[in-house]
Amino acid sequence: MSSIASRLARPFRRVLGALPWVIAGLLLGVAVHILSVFALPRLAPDDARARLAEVTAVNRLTTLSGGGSVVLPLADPAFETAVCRFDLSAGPLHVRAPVTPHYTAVALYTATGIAFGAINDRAATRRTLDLFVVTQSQRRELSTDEDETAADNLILVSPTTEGFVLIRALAVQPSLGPLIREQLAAQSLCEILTPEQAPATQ
Amino acid sequence: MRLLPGLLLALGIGAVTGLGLTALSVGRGTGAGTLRIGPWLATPKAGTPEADPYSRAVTARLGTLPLALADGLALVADADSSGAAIDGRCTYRVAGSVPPARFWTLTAARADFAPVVEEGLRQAFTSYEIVRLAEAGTDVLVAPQARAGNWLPSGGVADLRLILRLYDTPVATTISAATVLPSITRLSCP
Repeated sequence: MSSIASRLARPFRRVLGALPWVIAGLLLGVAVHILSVFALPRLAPDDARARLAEVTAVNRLTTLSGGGSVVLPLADPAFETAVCRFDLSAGPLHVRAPVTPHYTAVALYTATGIAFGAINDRAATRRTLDLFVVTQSQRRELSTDEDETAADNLILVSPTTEGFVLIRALAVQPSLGPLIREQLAAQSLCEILTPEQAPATQ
Repeated sequence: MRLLPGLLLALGIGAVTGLGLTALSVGRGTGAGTLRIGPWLATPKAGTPEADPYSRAVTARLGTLPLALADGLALVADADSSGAAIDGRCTYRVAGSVPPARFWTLTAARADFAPVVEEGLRQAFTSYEIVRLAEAGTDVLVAPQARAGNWLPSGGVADLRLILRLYDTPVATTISAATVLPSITRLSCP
């Protein structure tokens, strides 16, 4: 009688002995899950930064052909896109986008792909959309000498020295794509300003 | 249980469940910032400083730059209004009213957001070119073969996604589960 009980108890005791390890494993699993989700943005080898580094030069505008949906997944194929990878260490950046017939938007991203500013053609007062991207310290230099309310310029402060500018224009029909792309290539601008060219404040 | 086998067991279970959970959860609408409205999924905070860790992971893994809210809002559907997965071999009708926006686009894509048809064929509809049949906002047929009316080619791929993007819209910041969006109805299947 007692020998049967002990024979039954032995596998039961082995399972019981493994139980703390299983629980420890599951807790470890939760920790691994949380850590891996947080680490993914830093570890992903094919993020927007890596994709755009292949096709663009620093502080120079590049038009992405064919809607840009191949270089940047989830980009709208109805749009023509121009990209500028910027580095503000040399000075403030001047971005100009043409106002296209239907819709133009300029969006600014940090190097890790966080949007810190966006405007569309509704903000345009002329036939082009002009804005200046500066770092925190360049912003301070700009506002020290002159009254900034007098300025008609859009100045955006970038939280990081490096980042991306995306200029996107809508082609309402696929056949209009090449035309819009040409207009983007011809009239857009993305260049570092020399001290003399700094945003006019009069 | 002795120390070494126990430790190995715990490490094994930890690695498998942890990485498994990550692989299963990232990209499936997990995270506090994801809204499910009918068949559509929206992550309005994606790509902003307030994005949740899951949507940050999705953004990095896809290698994309999400739409800024001042620009527009993207809604993705991987299932129709009845909850069944969207299959590009079937015919679907996307109909109903679209929230107020300057304009919108409807795009067909694969699960990895690659285009379903080669360049030169229609990949998207914009609201400017929709043939309006009634006062209703939209009526688009998604099918592998050409249809009369507003036809969006689906390329006959099994892993079809539909993406509705609203541009210059107040809905980008006010979107909630009560927002009315178009329905996706399966019409026929071979």
